[in-house]
Amino acid sequence: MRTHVGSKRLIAYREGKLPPAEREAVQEHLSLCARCTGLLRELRDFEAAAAGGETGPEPLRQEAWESLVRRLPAKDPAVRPIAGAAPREAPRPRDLRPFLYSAAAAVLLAVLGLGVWATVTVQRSRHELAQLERRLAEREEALTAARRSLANAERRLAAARGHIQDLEKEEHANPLVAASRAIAVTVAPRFAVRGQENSGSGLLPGDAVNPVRIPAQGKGFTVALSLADHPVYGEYRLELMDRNGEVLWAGRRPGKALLGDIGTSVSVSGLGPGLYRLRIEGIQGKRSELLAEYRLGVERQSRSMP
Amino acid sequence: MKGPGEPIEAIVKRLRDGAGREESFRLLFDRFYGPLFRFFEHRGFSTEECQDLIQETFLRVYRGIEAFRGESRWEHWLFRIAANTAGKAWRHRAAAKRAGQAVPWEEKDEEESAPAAAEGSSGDARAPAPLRRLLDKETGELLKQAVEGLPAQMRRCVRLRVFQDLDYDEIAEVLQIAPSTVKVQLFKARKRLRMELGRSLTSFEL
Repeated sequence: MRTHVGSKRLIAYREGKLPPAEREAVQEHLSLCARCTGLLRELRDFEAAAAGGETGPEPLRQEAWESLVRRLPAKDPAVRPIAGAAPREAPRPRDLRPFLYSAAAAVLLAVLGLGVWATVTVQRSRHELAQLERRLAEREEALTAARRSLANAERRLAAARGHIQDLEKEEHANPLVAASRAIAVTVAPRFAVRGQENSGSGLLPGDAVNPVRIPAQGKGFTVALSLADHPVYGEYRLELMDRNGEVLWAGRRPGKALLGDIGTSVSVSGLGPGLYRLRIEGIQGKRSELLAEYRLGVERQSRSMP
Repeated sequence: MKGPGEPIEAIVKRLRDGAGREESFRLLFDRFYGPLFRFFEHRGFSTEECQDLIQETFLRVYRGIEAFRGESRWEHWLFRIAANTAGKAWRHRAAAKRAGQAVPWEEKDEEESAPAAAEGSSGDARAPAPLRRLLDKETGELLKQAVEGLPAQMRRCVRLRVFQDLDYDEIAEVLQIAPSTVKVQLFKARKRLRMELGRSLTSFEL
């Protein structure tokens, strides 16, 4: 223990209130420190003097008591000046003027400060209000312009709708236009052996028999579907049936196939001469729709035919 | 039982409770004026200084009596206040001296007063007689080293005896052991040290 024991700890040691370890430490320090040993001896001497009733020099004691009483706090009536001692001076009333002046100055400063703050705040609020009003007027002008544009657009839309209706009426009235909206199917016989392909002609839907002539040295023919200007389906199902309705061949083709961006084709081979039906459906997901059905009259050309 | 023979605890209780504070305060002052005067005088203060310091001590008692909770003995609490008051006065005196101010207290011989107060005792700083006989510094160092090798209680007894010049009763009081124990410990220490130090300890007494 390098630091001194201190009176509080020394008293605890003297009273036997320290735990054993701390007591050992204090003893060790005491054996090394004459100052703390001296303090312990002073404590012992003080105890002995108190127990022995040592009174000290009498005139000095009375003198010290009288001085002590004069120094006690004036507001506490517990210990009053004893008889014979110098009377304590009556406390003079405190001069409150400096305090009042200070308080008045503080209040005045506070009022002035409050006024300045209020003025600045009101001016700032007015400025902000004016800015908000300007922004509101600008927004209202923009809204009016937008409403005008909307009304013009609605007018133009109504005119366009009327024009569309007119066109639709015209379309329904014109059979050529209506026919153009149907799926155009062309049969393009080609000679697979040579790889040559002839341009086909449009098929006639309904009960009309579309002649399909397979060259003598050819193995089949190709059905090409042109789907321009029509709704495009994800897939197309094609069925080739004999005259009794028995499906001889069926297959699916994607919407975009061999014929450019829009269209598909199917090659048919191995058919003998006869009358057949070609059925075409558009498939989109789980939905399917019959697009067209054609009758094909297949015949093989003789070698002598041009 | 009120009056001079009344137990201290009862007087202090009345002072704390506020019942008859004047009377109880006066009783405490009368009881402890003498011990306090002796204490301050022992620390090297003049009579006037003792008077002032006693008043200061009792002013602190008066102001702080509420803080006394009876955890230690009353006279010990008072002693702590007096010791703090004396320390503060010494610091004040030292500061005034450093500043070149005239101080109201009597000037005493530096060697006599200052160390006594600073160390908390008047005669402890003097070199003890047994140690003075060890003129040879080297022998003194050897003795110190040998003392450090002793068992704890034996070592403390030797230190207090040799380096602080306490008698057996004082050592017993400091270490809170019986004087006979001190005597036995020092007897054993003497034998051990003589064995270790040999002839170097011939003039040394424990």
